[in-house]
Amino acid sequence: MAMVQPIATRRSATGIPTGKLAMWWLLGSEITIFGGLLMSYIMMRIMYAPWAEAAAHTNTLAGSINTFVLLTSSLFAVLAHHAAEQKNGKLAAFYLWLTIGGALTFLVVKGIEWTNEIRHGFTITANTFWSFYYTAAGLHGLHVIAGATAMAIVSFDCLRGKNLQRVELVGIYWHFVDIVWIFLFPLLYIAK
Amino acid sequence: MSQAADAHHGHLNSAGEHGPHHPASYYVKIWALLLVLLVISIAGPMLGNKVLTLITAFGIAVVKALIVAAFFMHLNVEKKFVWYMLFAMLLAVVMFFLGTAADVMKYDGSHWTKPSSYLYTEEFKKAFSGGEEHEGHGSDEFDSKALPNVPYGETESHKAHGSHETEGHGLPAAEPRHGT
Amino acid sequence: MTTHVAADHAHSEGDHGHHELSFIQKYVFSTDHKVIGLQYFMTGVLMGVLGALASYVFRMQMAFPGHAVPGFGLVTPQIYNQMVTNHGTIMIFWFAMPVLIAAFGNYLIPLMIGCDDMVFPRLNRLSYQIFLFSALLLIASFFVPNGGFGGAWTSYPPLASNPIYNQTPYGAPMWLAAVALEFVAFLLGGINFITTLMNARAPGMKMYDIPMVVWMIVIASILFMASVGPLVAGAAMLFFDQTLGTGFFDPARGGDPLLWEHLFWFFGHPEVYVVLLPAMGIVAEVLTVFARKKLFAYRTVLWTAVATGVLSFFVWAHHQFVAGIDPRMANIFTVTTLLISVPITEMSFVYIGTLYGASIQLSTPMLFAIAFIVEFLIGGVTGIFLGASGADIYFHDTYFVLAHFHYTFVPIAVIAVFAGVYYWFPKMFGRYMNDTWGRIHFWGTAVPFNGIFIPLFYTGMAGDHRRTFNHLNFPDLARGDLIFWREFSTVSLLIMLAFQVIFFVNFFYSMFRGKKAPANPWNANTFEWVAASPPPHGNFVTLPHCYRGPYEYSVPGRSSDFWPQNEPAPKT
Repeated sequence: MAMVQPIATRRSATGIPTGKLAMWWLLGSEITIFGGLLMSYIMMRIMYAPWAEAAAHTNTLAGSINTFVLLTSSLFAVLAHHAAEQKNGKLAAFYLWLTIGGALTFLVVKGIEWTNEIRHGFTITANTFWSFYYTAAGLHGLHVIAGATAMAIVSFDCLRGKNLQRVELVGIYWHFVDIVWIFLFPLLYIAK
Repeated sequence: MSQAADAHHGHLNSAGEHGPHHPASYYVKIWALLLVLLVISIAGPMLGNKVLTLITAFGIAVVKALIVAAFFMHLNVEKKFVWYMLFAMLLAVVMFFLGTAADVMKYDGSHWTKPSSYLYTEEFKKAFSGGEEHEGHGSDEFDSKALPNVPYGETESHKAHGSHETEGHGLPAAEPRHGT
Repeated sequence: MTTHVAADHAHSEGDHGHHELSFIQKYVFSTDHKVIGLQYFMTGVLMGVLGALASYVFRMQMAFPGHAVPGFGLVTPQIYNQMVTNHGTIMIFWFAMPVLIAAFGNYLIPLMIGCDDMVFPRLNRLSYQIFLFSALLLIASFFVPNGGFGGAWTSYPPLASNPIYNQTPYGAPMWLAAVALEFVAFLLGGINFITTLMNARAPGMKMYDIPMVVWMIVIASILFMASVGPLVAGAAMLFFDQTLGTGFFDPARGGDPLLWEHLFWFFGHPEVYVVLLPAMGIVAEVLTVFARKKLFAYRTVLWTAVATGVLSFFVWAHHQFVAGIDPRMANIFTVTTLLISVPITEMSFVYIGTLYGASIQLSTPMLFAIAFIVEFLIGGVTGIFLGASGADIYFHDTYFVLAHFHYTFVPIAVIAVFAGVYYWFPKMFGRYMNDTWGRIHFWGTAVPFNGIFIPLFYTGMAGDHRRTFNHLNFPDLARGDLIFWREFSTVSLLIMLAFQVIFFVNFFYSMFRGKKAPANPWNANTFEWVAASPPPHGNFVTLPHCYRGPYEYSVPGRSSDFWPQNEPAPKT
């Protein structure tokens, strides 16, 4: 059932397009969610120096590969935006799918990494470092899945040349997901 | 006065013009810079110096985040309001840290002490350094045996003392959780 | 030159053009902000009734311990805990917030800023659906084995995290998931409100032309958004503690229960301003219209509200003075807490200043608005005692605290809401509510309310502790005068609850049979009174243009004592 767009959606008193403005506010709230979780982790981590022993068992190689994968997927996301600005829906969709490919690679690497860790006994209940590890990375992973899904939906519209402005919006969301990982990586993998 | 946003006509770049800001190669160059920074942050720990590691790891993380934010998210051409709003959210998170850290991040403070944290730290160290008997504890005033020993759920694996028994190679034993 | 003051009675041009929508499309899956606002209102009020029933049960237990409660049965300690916990949780998250922010916000914001809907109507519908699901999940938690969560609305670990302690292995995670989903619904809704206000205002509506209630709801949404994040993270951690047995809040395993407290109250304190500000916004609208006078100091109220919001991030640990926080932090938080009473008092005095020298019409909404100021001031003043950490050592966890926060919460969530309902009912339904019954309802609410909580200040000072199943178990609390005042308080509650029946009968009867109301029955200035009563889909025939501020009442030199915002300035 097609919905008539209200006139409200076409106004912009601030000059920032409404969709982008909403996305920035969404990211603002996400900053507080991840920020709260990571601050809690940082407090515990600094306090319990012995956690370094547990942290020594995180797989830095997997973490580094994933950082590389996410940074590259961010590149693809911004190239998709670049294509959308040139009104090239097909190229934008192509780059979006490369980004989704990056997301899937990230998830596969993480899956292998976690399977390996769980087999060695590092489960979420093994000790509180691992609880934080799985919770933080898991919450991030959920956002990766959500972002990939949103990009897939947007890409279908792009192929028909519709709603190209949404490429930038999912891109901004994706870059945020990337930034969260940029901080997770040293916290969980480097600080040992 | 309101101006019509371009929601139906494709994206305007923030300068108000049609078409992209930069050629695609510009973004590839930013990406290459990010990769260089990534390599440095991975190499940092290999130099062994703890302070240097922290600087490279976290300092570079901040720099990378700012690069992604400014260039990929186009915050460098976005209205300043967005920077302020995001920064305000970040300040709220920092405020949370400051108010909480004084309690959560310390073993003791002005007229209070957190004996279970001492105990936990001792347990943890022992768990990783091999199976020594732990009769004596770091904190003399606190007797761990006086702690009520209520297990979680049906398993015994989460007793205050028991969950960190050591195996030969120093890893904590992770017993599978029954039920739930 | 003809003015645009005359309300438009025509329907908007065919937004849905060809086909008439079915009932399901029009009311259940609507994206119209007015329908969604009313959905939030109805759901919120229904949940409020549940919360009130819970209070009936436990107040009967407090007054007549050990006796079976009529219509309910015997109250065991576990049932008592569940009632107390869910009363608090429901009233804050499923009554106060939905009605004040989601219902009034959704209904009023597009109308008052002169546009035809929210900027994200489908996101709006999704928010409501998530909210409804969260309410159903909470109700479902009562029907699982061992029933609903009973660990207090603050849900401190280890009681909340260990199923052995709280005895509700299913109820506790369901409660927590319901709260988390409610947060998500309000985050999404908040984004909608904020972007709508920022971007979709009528041409000519500058910052200081925005009606105060709209400002307040949006500032509240921003406050919510900035403060709830850590608690969402904390909820995930607590959920894992409950279901997987992780040790986030277990000190024996490297966690800290104080971490939960900080995560909770970092949000919990801004939350009270999240509900206070919209209530003050509603009162501002009602006061100005029925005093026929502009708001005494619009910019002061606005920037004070912003300052309150900012300051509210610096006071939260006053809920934790005796929880084992570092006493040096308690010093700091005492200072900030006492400081934050200043801007709120200032706003209250601005409202009183609005009344000074005004032509006051004591309509039913005005009665509630004035009662809000009086009762809330009592609540605020009693907060001073609690904000001083030294005094709080004695008062914490007594009924003094409870009486304080009910003296703030009930004006916010009940009195101000009634003011808004009586005021905007003609707009929503095109008919007046019966004024006589409204006045009877007012006195039957405002007077017994004091009868409930004033005695509780006294019993609290005498040592009655909160969340205690039976005070007679404590010999020094089994005194005759305390027993009397507990009974007095409960009887007052019964009277107050009885009078609410009048409201519901009035509400539903007037919806269908009330006296028909014109578009602008109160001769008010703001845009919602330009649209027809009730407004059609699309709100306005022609979207209005804003020419002045919202409170131009009794402007000298004008024959009429109001000056609608959409009326063009006369050519001179």
